[in-house]
Amino acid sequence: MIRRLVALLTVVSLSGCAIWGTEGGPSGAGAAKPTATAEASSVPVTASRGADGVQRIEITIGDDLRLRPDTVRATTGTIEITFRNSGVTPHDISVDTVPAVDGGNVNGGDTRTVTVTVTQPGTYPMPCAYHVTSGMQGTLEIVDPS
Amino acid sequence: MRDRLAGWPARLLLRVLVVVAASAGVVWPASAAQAHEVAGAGATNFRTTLSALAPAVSGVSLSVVENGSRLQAVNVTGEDLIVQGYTGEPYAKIGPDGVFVNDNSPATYLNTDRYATTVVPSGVDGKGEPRWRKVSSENVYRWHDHRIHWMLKTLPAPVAADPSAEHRVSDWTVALDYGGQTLTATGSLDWVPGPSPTLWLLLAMAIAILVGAGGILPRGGYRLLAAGTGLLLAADLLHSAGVAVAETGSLAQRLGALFGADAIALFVWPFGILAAWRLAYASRFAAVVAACVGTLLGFSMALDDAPVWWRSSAPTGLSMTVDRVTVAVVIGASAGLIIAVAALGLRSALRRAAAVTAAEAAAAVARSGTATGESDVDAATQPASEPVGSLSRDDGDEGGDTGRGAASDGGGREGDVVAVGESGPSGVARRSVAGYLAASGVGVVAGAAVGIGLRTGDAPVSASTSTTGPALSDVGAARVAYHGLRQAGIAVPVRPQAHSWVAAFDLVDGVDAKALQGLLRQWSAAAARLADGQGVGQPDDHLVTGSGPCALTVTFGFGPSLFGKAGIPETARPVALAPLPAFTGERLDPGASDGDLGVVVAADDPLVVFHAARVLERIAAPVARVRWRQTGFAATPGATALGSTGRNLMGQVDGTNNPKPADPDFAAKVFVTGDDQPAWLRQGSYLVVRRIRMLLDDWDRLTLDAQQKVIGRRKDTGAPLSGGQETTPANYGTTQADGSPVIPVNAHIRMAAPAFNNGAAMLRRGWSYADGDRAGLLFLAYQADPRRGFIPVQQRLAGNDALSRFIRHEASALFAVPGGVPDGGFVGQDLFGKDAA
Ligand code: HEM
Ligand SMILES: [Cu+2]
Repeated sequence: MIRRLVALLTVVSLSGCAIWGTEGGPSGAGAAKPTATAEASSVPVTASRGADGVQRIEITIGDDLRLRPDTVRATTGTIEITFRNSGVTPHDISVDTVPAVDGGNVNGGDTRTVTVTVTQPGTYPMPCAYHVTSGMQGTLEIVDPS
Repeated sequence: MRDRLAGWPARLLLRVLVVVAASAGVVWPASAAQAHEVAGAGATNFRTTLSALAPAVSGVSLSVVENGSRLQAVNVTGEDLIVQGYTGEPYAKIGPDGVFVNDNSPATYLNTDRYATTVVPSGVDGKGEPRWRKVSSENVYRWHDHRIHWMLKTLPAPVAADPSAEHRVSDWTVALDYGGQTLTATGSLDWVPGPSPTLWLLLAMAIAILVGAGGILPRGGYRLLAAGTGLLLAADLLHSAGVAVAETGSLAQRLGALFGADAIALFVWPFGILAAWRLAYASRFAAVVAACVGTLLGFSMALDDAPVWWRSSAPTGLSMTVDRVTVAVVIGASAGLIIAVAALGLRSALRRAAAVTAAEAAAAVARSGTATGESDVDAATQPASEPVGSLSRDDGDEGGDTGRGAASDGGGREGDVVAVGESGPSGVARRSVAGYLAASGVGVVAGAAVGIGLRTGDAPVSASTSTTGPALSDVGAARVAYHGLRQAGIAVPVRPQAHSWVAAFDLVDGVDAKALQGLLRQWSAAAARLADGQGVGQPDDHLVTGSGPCALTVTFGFGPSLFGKAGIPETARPVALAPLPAFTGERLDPGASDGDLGVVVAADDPLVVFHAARVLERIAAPVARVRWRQTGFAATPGATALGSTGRNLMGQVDGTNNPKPADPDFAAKVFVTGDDQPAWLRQGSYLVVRRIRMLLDDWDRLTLDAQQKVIGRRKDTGAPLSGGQETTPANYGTTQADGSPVIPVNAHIRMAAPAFNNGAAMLRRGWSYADGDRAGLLFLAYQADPRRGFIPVQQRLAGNDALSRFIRHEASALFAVPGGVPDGGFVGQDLFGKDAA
């Protein structure tokens, strides 16, 4: 009897636990897990250098609280980063160079461009002021041009 | 006759109600998902903890309310308290004139919604002058603070990978400005898995079977259903009241929580009460209504609230166990009512079929009706055309019962039953059951509504001080909770307290596991009381009478030598807890080094530290003896500017480049998070203690310039010699005119920095010590693994860095610091596994 019950429970939990929202059923069955693509997005993308010598990159920010790409590689110099908000939740990404450059609020559907000039090679975090507790942070990797 | 008439209005009312119920059932599922949530948050495994608000100010308190959904600030002082927004701008102002929000802060717009799906008007950036808008004239404000809770609708990756383990999701800080100083609230967001739901599911099934039996039992079946309906209503009401109590909002919001979304309960509960009442008079139609009510309440409960069975917390004023029971009762009783009505329907269908068969066989004389096999059914008195769902009573169930009292049993009409009831003892019982159910149902609903309406605020977990009696200073009143996911005294409070007592104990020979566990249990209980500012019930409590807890923390650790004693196998010793290797130049005093158990007591008052240390020593006496002890000190709170880094006895600013709680990798550097360490160490840390003597006479002979080069930082500001301010990152590439580096190659910071040690990092949290002519640094460092912290760094520094000439390591110890102590538990209990006594 108990064994049947457990079997039934398992069937229910595997199929229908999503009705209980993000956290799902017992032992996390049916929980809303981050998608594989969300996890495997840490491939650095290099900013492309324009004729004027400025390096440019567009980063998409969305309701999944991720930056895509989440790691941008560039060389020392001026970098222009455009944040495109593809979702509905506002974000505010800063580039934590010294001193930090605050991108300001970007509402859903909006874009905003920030320009930073970096002279020191290193890795600089790009956290979202609203969502950093939930892990919304990218990285700017600056290397020597040589 | 009068009674027969009296039955009709009730019958009519029920019929009208059932139509309403049916239509309510159509709209119900849509609103069910929002029912019984507080501010958009239901049962959850995420846990937001506020660990400290420092410095504490009496009259100002902060707390996490609505199960982590919001923060609440209370300010009863005469000065404004300003909550900083996401980029440090002023966001909300709570003060004597009421509560104001800054329309020029993005937080004002973001914080209106739990998931911040809002729009910030253009031009609002928090940079300009605040535009204050008054929102209330109270002295309390509650807001969704997105720094304290999980903002995604998918789980964090580590949690998704292993949902049944505990995880530290993040650490958070929220800053508040008050009277020219910054109050920092620090806390954490954790994933705490809940229990197994099996027990509660079994309870619900047992209740379902019990109530469902009401549809089959020949005797007392309806009374069982009436009781089941009453139980269902009571449990649903209790559950809803619990939710309403957790709601901290306005009266309307609290009543909304009580009655569910769209106040649906206001429509459903009256049906239930009426059905329970009519059920006591054995109305089959009432059973159908009760089943409808049960379907509505039970389904919404299962959809919405069943997760309380397997999640660790829920927004409720009830204890989790009581809350889980109410959910099991509602779901179980509802299922029971549905089963019962199905059984009733089946039985009367069978009976009708039997009656038809009997008629066809022309066996009119066979009045015994035995053909059906149901000896208690009098086929002749049961009209075959009786429709299911009418208000007529079902004689089949009650016939035998009422037959006891009166000769009119054969009548079988409702009005007669009432008459019978008046003369028969069981009828009286039924009527009073019905009366009580109806009256108490209405009374409880009204009472709960009034109670919840009148309730003025609750007592949420708070990191602030109580304001009874003459106010203590900020320093005295500061309180750091002993219980938590991690031990206090490591990352909390952020600034090390002004006084400390660091000691090691050795177990007395022959102590067994039970005695050791007893000691740890008593130590934990005492530490929890002392941290809360309470005495331990001994005469020497008067040593601290009148003083507050002064941010007292007690941190316990296990030394390598503990393993192999008191029944703990040597093999249980974590690999990382191997005794430290010997380092160049050290001259260690074995009597002042190592030890089975390590204890760090720290507080902002020397008497409070002394008292706590004595209490712990006394508790240990029969089981463990002090091997060595050392007191330490730092600047008195208030002596230096708030938030400034302390200085050591060489006069340097010391602690600047420590890992910060707000760093994303803070926990990974300082706390044991990985699976490569034993489970009892999870959320724990490794503590290295070194008593480092400073050769101050030699040091004093150096010029200021030479002293600065030894460390690589300026003595006045603590700024790196490469320029900038204290917090400016050091630039190790900056060179002087002659091409030599500005920060010399053997400067202490160059040789100690993680960048030059493969990332090896630690949280230094030491104190100065001075005993007679010996003085120096009581160096304490916490790290996730000493092999990726103290050991490689010290191997590099020893004998090599410029500081080596002016210091001498004289004592040393290493301890594994277990994770935090749950309320009712004791430190390190997981080390003892199942045999924990
Ligand atoms: C009496 C002995 C010591 C003194 C007076 C001393 C003093 C200092 C000072 C003034 C700083 C710069 C400010 C700061 O970032 O905190 C510093 C940094 C540091 N010290 Fe020490 N220290 C001592 C011993 C040690 C030992 C034994 C270790 C570890 C093996 C150590 C590890 C570090 C680390 C990791 C830093 C930070 C380097 C960076 O990332 O910039 N120190 N120390
Ligand atoms: Cu964001």
